[in-house]
Amino acid sequence: MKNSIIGFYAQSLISSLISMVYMIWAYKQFFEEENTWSAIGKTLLAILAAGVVIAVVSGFGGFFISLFGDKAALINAVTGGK
Amino acid sequence: MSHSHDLIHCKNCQNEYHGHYCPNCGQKATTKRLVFNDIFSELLNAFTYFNRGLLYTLKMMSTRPGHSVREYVQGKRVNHFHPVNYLLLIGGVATWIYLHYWDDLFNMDIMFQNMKTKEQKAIMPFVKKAVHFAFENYTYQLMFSILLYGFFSVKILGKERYNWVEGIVLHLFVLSHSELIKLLLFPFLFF
Repeated sequence: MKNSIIGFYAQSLISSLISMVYMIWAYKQFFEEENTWSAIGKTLLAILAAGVVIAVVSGFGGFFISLFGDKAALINAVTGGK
Repeated sequence: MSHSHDLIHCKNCQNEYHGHYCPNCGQKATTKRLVFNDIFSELLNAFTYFNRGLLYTLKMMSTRPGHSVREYVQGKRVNHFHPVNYLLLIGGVATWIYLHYWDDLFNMDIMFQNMKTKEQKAIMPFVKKAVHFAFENYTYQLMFSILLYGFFSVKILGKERYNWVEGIVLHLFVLSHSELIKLLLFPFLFF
């Protein structure tokens, strides 16, 4: 039962959008933001800020894996063994 | 004479009080000798109490998420499921589902179909290992995200009304419930 890559991306995109809308809704209620656009903007900013930190930390993780991982296999994979 | 007028000596903490329960430790004023059925009734009570909190939290997080968490932060906590337990329960279910069904649902070879077989052979074990590691530690990823979202949301939206811990509590509920929504959408990958 293998699914197509398009189905996977579509499902990921829809579930991420629903999660984002849910977070905006929750933030608006929790922080008692009266202006909906302000709530949307600030929520997206908070998500972006957290996303940047996660990306930076993941980048460091990737960097350390490349330092201590199987270098020959990685170089082979990137260059095609040339 | 009722218990509310007698001075009760608590069997649990030795406190003296009036009423049906000890105000110090919550021990019942009257206790009868244990019989076989008590084992099952206690178990049933524990189970229904656990479910009642979970169902209440599920309902609140689906209908008024922000308001209910704000009330929780302000002290209205009795009916709620504990936020850390909520995360562990949903994170645990998510980890189990992703680990068991991922290979059936998504063929990673498609991602690397443009690569030559030799390159694919070199990189696939590493990628599969990384993806498996990510799913295996999914709850830890959620915990890390919660710390960050808690920090940034309080800084950006909090206006100094809330501290970091309160932001974390908000996201323990919100991100866990958001994960539950994602899980509910997961079966659509089968179609």
